[in-house]
Amino acid sequence: MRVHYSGGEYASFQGGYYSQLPNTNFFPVSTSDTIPNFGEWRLYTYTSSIESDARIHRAYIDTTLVSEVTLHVSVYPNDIMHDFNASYRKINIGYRDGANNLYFHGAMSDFLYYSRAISDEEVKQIFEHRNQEEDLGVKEAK
Amino acid sequence: MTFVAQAQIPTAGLQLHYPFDGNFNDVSGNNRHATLKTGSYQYISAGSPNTSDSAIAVTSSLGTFGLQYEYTSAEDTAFRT
Repeated sequence: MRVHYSGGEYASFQGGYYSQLPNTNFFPVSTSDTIPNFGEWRLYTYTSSIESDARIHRAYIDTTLVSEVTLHVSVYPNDIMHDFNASYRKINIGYRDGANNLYFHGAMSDFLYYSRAISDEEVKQIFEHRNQEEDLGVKEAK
Repeated sequence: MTFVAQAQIPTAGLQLHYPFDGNFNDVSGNNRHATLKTGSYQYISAGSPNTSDSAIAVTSSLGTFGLQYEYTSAEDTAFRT
Protein backbone atom coordinates (compact mmCIF):
# COMPACT_ATOMS: atom_id res chain seq x y z
CA MET A 1 0.00 0.00 0.00
CA ARG A 2 1.26 3.45 -0.84
CA VAL A 3 0.37 6.18 1.62
CA HIS A 4 0.66 9.80 2.52
CA TYR A 5 0.27 9.96 6.26
CA SER A 6 -1.08 13.07 7.89
CA GLY A 7 -2.16 11.95 11.31
CA GLY A 8 -4.91 9.87 12.77
CA GLU A 9 -4.20 7.08 15.14
CA TYR A 10 -3.55 4.21 12.77
CA ALA A 11 -2.75 4.06 9.10
CA SER A 12 -4.32 0.71 9.17
CA PHE A 13 -4.68 -2.40 7.19
CA GLN A 14 -6.17 -5.30 9.11
CA GLY A 15 -6.73 -8.77 7.90
CA GLY A 16 -5.29 -12.14 7.16
CA TYR A 17 -2.97 -12.86 10.00
CA TYR A 18 -2.36 -10.32 12.79
CA SER A 19 -1.59 -7.61 10.31
CA GLN A 20 -2.08 -3.92 10.64
CA LEU A 21 -0.20 -1.25 8.78
CA PRO A 22 1.79 0.55 9.77
CA ASN A 23 1.15 0.91 13.50
CA THR A 24 1.41 -2.69 14.57
CA ASN A 25 3.45 -4.75 16.92
CA PHE A 26 5.54 -5.62 13.91
CA PHE A 27 5.78 -2.21 12.30
CA PRO A 28 7.77 0.32 14.33
CA VAL A 29 6.13 3.63 13.44
CA SER A 30 7.01 5.27 16.70
CA THR A 31 10.23 6.53 15.23
CA SER A 32 9.99 9.63 13.09
CA ASP A 33 11.77 8.14 10.10
CA THR A 34 9.01 5.60 9.50
CA ILE A 35 6.18 8.11 9.13
CA PRO A 36 6.16 9.76 5.72
CA ASN A 37 5.98 13.51 5.44
CA PHE A 38 2.79 14.95 4.03
CA GLY A 39 2.95 15.01 0.26
CA GLU A 40 5.46 12.19 0.15
CA TRP A 41 4.41 8.80 -1.15
CA ARG A 42 5.87 5.78 0.63
CA LEU A 43 5.33 2.11 -0.05
CA TYR A 44 4.35 0.08 3.04
CA THR A 45 4.62 -3.68 2.83
CA TYR A 46 3.89 -6.31 5.45
CA THR A 47 4.48 -10.04 4.97
CA SER A 48 3.78 -13.04 7.17
CA SER A 49 4.89 -16.60 6.47
CA ILE A 50 5.65 -19.94 8.07
CA GLU A 51 9.31 -20.81 7.74
CA SER A 52 10.53 -24.01 9.35
CA ASP A 53 9.28 -23.95 12.95
CA ALA A 54 8.41 -20.27 13.12
CA ARG A 55 6.15 -17.56 11.76
CA ILE A 56 8.11 -14.66 10.35
CA HIS A 57 6.67 -11.14 10.16
CA ARG A 58 8.47 -8.64 7.97
CA ALA A 59 7.73 -4.97 7.41
CA TYR A 60 9.17 -2.77 4.70
CA ILE A 61 9.07 0.92 3.95
CA ASP A 62 9.76 1.48 0.27
CA THR A 63 12.40 -1.19 -0.37
CA THR A 64 13.95 -1.27 3.09
CA LEU A 65 13.24 -4.05 5.57
CA VAL A 66 12.52 -2.11 8.77
CA SER A 67 11.28 -4.88 11.04
CA GLU A 68 11.53 -8.65 11.27
CA VAL A 69 9.87 -10.56 14.08
CA THR A 70 10.11 -14.33 14.55
CA LEU A 71 7.59 -16.26 16.62
CA HIS A 72 8.68 -19.82 17.35
CA VAL A 73 6.22 -22.69 17.63
CA SER A 74 7.91 -23.84 20.80
CA VAL A 75 7.06 -20.53 22.51
CA TYR A 76 3.75 -19.45 21.04
CA PRO A 77 0.53 -21.49 20.99
CA ASN A 78 -0.99 -22.84 17.83
CA ASP A 79 -3.59 -20.09 17.50
CA ILE A 80 -0.83 -17.49 17.32
CA MET A 81 1.06 -19.49 14.76
CA HIS A 82 -1.82 -20.19 12.47
CA ASP A 83 -5.30 -18.81 12.85
CA PHE A 84 -6.22 -16.79 15.90
CA ASN A 85 -9.83 -16.22 14.87
CA ALA A 86 -11.24 -18.73 12.41
CA SER A 87 -14.54 -16.88 12.00
CA TYR A 88 -13.08 -13.47 11.19
CA ARG A 89 -12.92 -13.17 7.42
CA LYS A 90 -12.46 -9.49 6.71
CA ILE A 91 -9.86 -7.33 5.07
CA ASN A 92 -10.13 -3.83 6.51
CA ILE A 93 -8.46 -0.81 4.99
CA GLY A 94 -8.26 2.53 6.77
CA TYR A 95 -9.51 1.34 10.12
CA ARG A 96 -9.26 -1.37 12.71
CA ASP A 97 -12.36 -3.33 13.43
CA GLY A 98 -13.23 -4.26 17.00
CA ALA A 99 -13.62 -2.62 20.35
CA ASN A 100 -11.34 0.31 19.57
CA ASN A 101 -11.83 1.47 16.04
CA LEU A 102 -8.72 3.33 14.96
CA TYR A 103 -8.70 5.38 11.81
CA PHE A 104 -6.29 6.47 9.13
CA HIS A 105 -5.91 10.09 8.08
CA GLY A 106 -4.00 10.71 4.91
CA ALA A 107 -4.07 9.44 1.34
CA MET A 108 -3.63 5.93 0.05
CA SER A 109 -3.28 4.27 -3.31
CA ASP A 110 -2.47 0.90 -4.83
CA PHE A 111 -3.45 -1.61 -2.21
CA LEU A 112 -2.16 -5.10 -3.09
CA TYR A 113 -2.90 -8.35 -1.24
CA TYR A 114 -1.17 -11.66 -1.99
CA SER A 115 -1.92 -15.17 -0.78
CA ARG A 116 1.79 -15.62 -0.08
CA ALA A 117 4.62 -13.65 1.40
CA ILE A 118 6.30 -11.77 -1.42
CA SER A 119 10.08 -11.65 -1.48
CA ASP A 120 12.49 -8.77 -0.96
CA GLU A 121 13.02 -8.69 -4.71
CA GLU A 122 9.29 -8.51 -5.40
CA VAL A 123 8.92 -5.61 -2.98
CA LYS A 124 11.53 -3.83 -5.10
CA GLN A 125 9.63 -4.71 -8.28
CA ILE A 126 6.45 -3.13 -6.94
CA PHE A 127 8.34 -0.05 -5.82
CA GLU A 128 10.05 0.30 -9.21
CA HIS A 129 6.83 -0.33 -11.11
CA ARG A 130 5.12 2.55 -9.39
CA ASN A 131 8.05 4.87 -9.91
CA GLN A 132 8.13 3.99 -13.60
CA GLU A 133 4.41 4.62 -14.02
CA GLU A 134 4.83 8.06 -12.53
CA ASP A 135 7.91 8.75 -14.67
CA LEU A 136 6.12 7.67 -17.82
CA GLY A 137 2.93 9.48 -16.98
CA VAL A 138 0.91 6.30 -17.37
CA LYS A 139 -1.57 7.31 -14.71
CA GLU A 140 -2.11 10.70 -16.28
CA ALA A 141 -2.76 9.14 -19.67
CA LYS A 142 -5.67 7.02 -18.49
CA MET B 1 17.99 -0.31 -30.61
CA THR B 2 17.48 0.04 -26.92
CA PHE B 3 15.44 -2.19 -24.68
CA VAL B 4 14.27 -0.83 -21.35
CA ALA B 5 13.36 -3.43 -18.78
CA GLN B 6 10.22 -2.31 -16.98
CA ALA B 7 9.37 -3.70 -13.57
CA GLN B 8 5.98 -5.35 -13.29
CA ILE B 9 3.76 -5.96 -10.32
CA PRO B 10 4.06 -9.66 -9.41
CA THR B 11 0.88 -11.50 -10.29
CA ALA B 12 1.49 -14.91 -8.67
CA GLY B 13 -0.85 -15.15 -5.72
CA LEU B 14 -2.31 -11.67 -6.25
CA GLN B 15 -5.75 -11.64 -4.62
CA LEU B 16 -6.65 -7.95 -4.38
CA HIS B 17 -5.49 -4.85 -6.19
CA TYR B 18 -7.21 -1.58 -5.40
CA PRO B 19 -5.63 1.29 -7.36
CA PHE B 20 -8.36 3.69 -6.15
CA ASP B 21 -8.83 5.11 -9.62
CA GLY B 22 -12.13 6.76 -8.80
CA ASN B 23 -13.70 3.72 -7.15
CA PHE B 24 -13.01 0.77 -4.83
CA ASN B 25 -12.85 -1.82 -7.59
CA ASP B 26 -10.47 -4.74 -7.57
CA VAL B 27 -8.42 -4.92 -10.79
CA SER B 28 -6.58 -8.13 -9.89
CA GLY B 29 -8.95 -10.07 -12.13
CA ASN B 30 -10.76 -11.59 -9.17
CA ASN B 31 -13.49 -8.92 -8.97
CA ARG B 32 -13.34 -8.69 -5.21
CA HIS B 33 -14.51 -5.12 -4.95
CA ALA B 34 -14.30 -3.38 -1.58
CA THR B 35 -17.23 -1.85 0.26
CA LEU B 36 -17.26 1.46 2.07
CA LYS B 37 -18.09 0.62 5.69
CA THR B 38 -17.92 4.00 7.29
CA GLY B 39 -17.03 7.62 6.82
CA SER B 40 -16.15 10.03 4.08
CA TYR B 41 -13.27 10.48 1.70
CA GLN B 42 -12.09 12.42 -1.30
CA TYR B 43 -10.64 11.19 -4.53
CA ILE B 44 -7.37 12.69 -5.61
CA SER B 45 -7.05 12.69 -9.36
CA ALA B 46 -3.80 11.88 -11.05
CA GLY B 47 -2.00 15.09 -11.84
CA SER B 48 -3.34 16.95 -8.82
CA PRO B 49 -0.91 19.02 -6.77
CA ASN B 50 1.41 16.89 -4.68
CA THR B 51 0.84 13.68 -6.58
CA SER B 52 0.93 12.13 -10.02
CA ASP B 53 -1.06 9.18 -8.68
CA SER B 54 -4.77 8.82 -8.14
CA ALA B 55 -5.72 8.06 -4.56
CA ILE B 56 -8.30 8.37 -1.85
CA ALA B 57 -7.73 10.83 0.95
CA VAL B 58 -9.16 11.11 4.43
CA THR B 59 -8.71 14.05 6.75
CA SER B 60 -9.73 14.68 10.31
CA SER B 61 -12.29 17.21 9.07
CA LEU B 62 -13.86 14.52 6.90
CA GLY B 63 -14.05 12.20 9.85
CA THR B 64 -13.58 8.49 9.82
CA PHE B 65 -13.16 6.16 6.90
CA GLY B 66 -13.08 2.42 6.40
CA LEU B 67 -13.09 0.02 3.48
CA GLN B 68 -13.73 -3.68 3.76
CA TYR B 69 -13.66 -6.83 1.73
CA GLU B 70 -15.36 -9.72 3.51
CA TYR B 71 -14.43 -13.11 2.17
CA THR B 72 -16.08 -16.49 2.48
CA SER B 73 -14.79 -19.75 3.93
CA ALA B 74 -14.30 -20.94 0.36
CA GLU B 75 -11.72 -18.16 -0.03
CA ASP B 76 -9.73 -19.06 3.07
CA THR B 77 -6.80 -20.37 1.07
CA ALA B 78 -6.55 -17.03 -0.69
CA PHE B 79 -6.48 -14.93 2.45
CA ARG B 80 -5.06 -17.11 5.24
CA THR B 81 -1.44 -18.03 4.77
